[in-house]
Amino acid sequence: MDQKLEELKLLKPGTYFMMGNIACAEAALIAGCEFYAGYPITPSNEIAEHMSRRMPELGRHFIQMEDEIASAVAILGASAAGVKAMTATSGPGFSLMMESIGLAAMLELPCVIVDVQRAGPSTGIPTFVGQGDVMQARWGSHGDYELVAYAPSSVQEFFDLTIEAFNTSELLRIPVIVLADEVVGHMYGKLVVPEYSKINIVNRKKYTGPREKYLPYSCETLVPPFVAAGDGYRIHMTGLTHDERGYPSLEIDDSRKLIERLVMKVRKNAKNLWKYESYFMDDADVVVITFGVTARSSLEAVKRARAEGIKAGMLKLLTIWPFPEDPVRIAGEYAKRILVAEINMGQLIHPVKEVVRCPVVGINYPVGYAPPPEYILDGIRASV
Amino acid sequence: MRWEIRWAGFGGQGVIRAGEILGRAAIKQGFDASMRPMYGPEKTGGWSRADVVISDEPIIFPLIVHPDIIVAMSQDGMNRDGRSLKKGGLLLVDDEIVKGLVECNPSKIYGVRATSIADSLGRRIVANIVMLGAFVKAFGIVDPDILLETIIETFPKAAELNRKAFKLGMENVREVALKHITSARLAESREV
Repeated sequence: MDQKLEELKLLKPGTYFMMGNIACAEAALIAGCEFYAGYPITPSNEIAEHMSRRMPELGRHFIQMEDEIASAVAILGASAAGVKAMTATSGPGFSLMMESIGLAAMLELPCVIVDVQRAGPSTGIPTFVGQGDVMQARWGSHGDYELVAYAPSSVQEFFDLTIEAFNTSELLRIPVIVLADEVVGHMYGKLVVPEYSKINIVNRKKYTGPREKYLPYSCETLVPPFVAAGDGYRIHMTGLTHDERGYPSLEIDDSRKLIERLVMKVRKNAKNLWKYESYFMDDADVVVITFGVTARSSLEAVKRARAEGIKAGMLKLLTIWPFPEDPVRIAGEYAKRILVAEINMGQLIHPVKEVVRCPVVGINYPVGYAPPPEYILDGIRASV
Repeated sequence: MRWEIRWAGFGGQGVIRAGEILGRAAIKQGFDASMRPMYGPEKTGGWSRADVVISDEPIIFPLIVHPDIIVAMSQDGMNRDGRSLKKGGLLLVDDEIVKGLVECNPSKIYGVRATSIADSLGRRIVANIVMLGAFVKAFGIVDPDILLETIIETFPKAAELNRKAFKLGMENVREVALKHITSARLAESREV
């Protein structure tokens, strides 16, 4: 479709009162998502429902697959064909997609997977909130790979980070997870869509050299330039450990070079990928580290603690993986105590403990419910 | 100023839609707003709730623990959510359906027979719009004209019907007295 015509059909710049899930879908359209495959699951349904209407309007493709396994595989196929692709799901579906997330990392196929977290484990409470997929997002598939996971805490952030997720996946040729939660997904809030010219859109780097010299998994750079299936180049993709040509290999050098590259392309770029926001950190004795909807409760709690004379601060992580080690480490150098607030029995607390030396205490809230500010405030009071 | 408003009813009554419209009108008027819908696994016929926050400052915590105002469109909604009302809070009910107070002591109770009024217009589905009319008449907060404009923009094909429903809601809301019910299915209620 003509670019100007297409822009006419995208969500226009302006101020909206919009559901998080719908903001995510509209962001994906603006980011250039050409293919959506998914399977319905609460609380992510509105993304698929909205995409099923909007994608055909824009001449793009929507398909409801038979399950989440097929959905994840379908978006890899679309990505291999050269288009931006996404799916959205929640805990049980996310579990089913794990195998393909590893495959996406291995084949270096950019894709975006939105996980609107609900209460778990297993079926849990479909319509209630959870934050229990933090570790699964990072370690859910087998083997060594790195990926990026963003965690929005508002409708605006869900919109912004969905675009960012597409950009990062294209830039590094990796699967990127948007780790939202039921509250952020279902909540309506204020959304400001900026002028399109102010929205940064990244497209994967394409190979343009001579055909006979093309190596689909070249190790010359951390991120090899991409060629789509059907572009006329010789490409081969396999989940087996492969050499630069993409063919299966048992050689130690090929294995080392490939796996190092899969990991280092994220680790070496980690500093650029870390997104976080600091509140009242200048003189904070006690720092709450948190993400998603819990950050909304925590900031209110920190403000109330300040009003009581407690030197509290907060670090909101927008990037969960790669874990923002530097800001967390620095927080730990100045604070007397760090509190990690999350709607689970303790997941994000582990990487925090890995990088700081001061005492770290979890503030954990029963899965299914967003903690009220009073609950976090009690945790802050108890720590001083 | 921050207003916390909880709409309670059952799936199908349009409480979530009402909450969305109220929030959107508030945004148009320059407030910050958020609306968090909640419902059980059943959707239609199951419990349903919309928590609306309207504030003249950016909203940090978008959820509600003890609302200033509860709008109850069903007795079940009252049974479940009545107790969460802030001390001295305000209540608006469909007083033909909500027969009594459960564990709540509002400082004022407003009533409107929203479902009957909607039936008289031939479409029970507009009961939530009647309720929005009653809401804005009783409590203000948002501008009635902006609220009506938002409603009409949401349902452009049913503009006349909704305009009537909204107007009847504004005209028929009044202060009412409700008795306390102590036993009503409280065991079934759960704290959320």
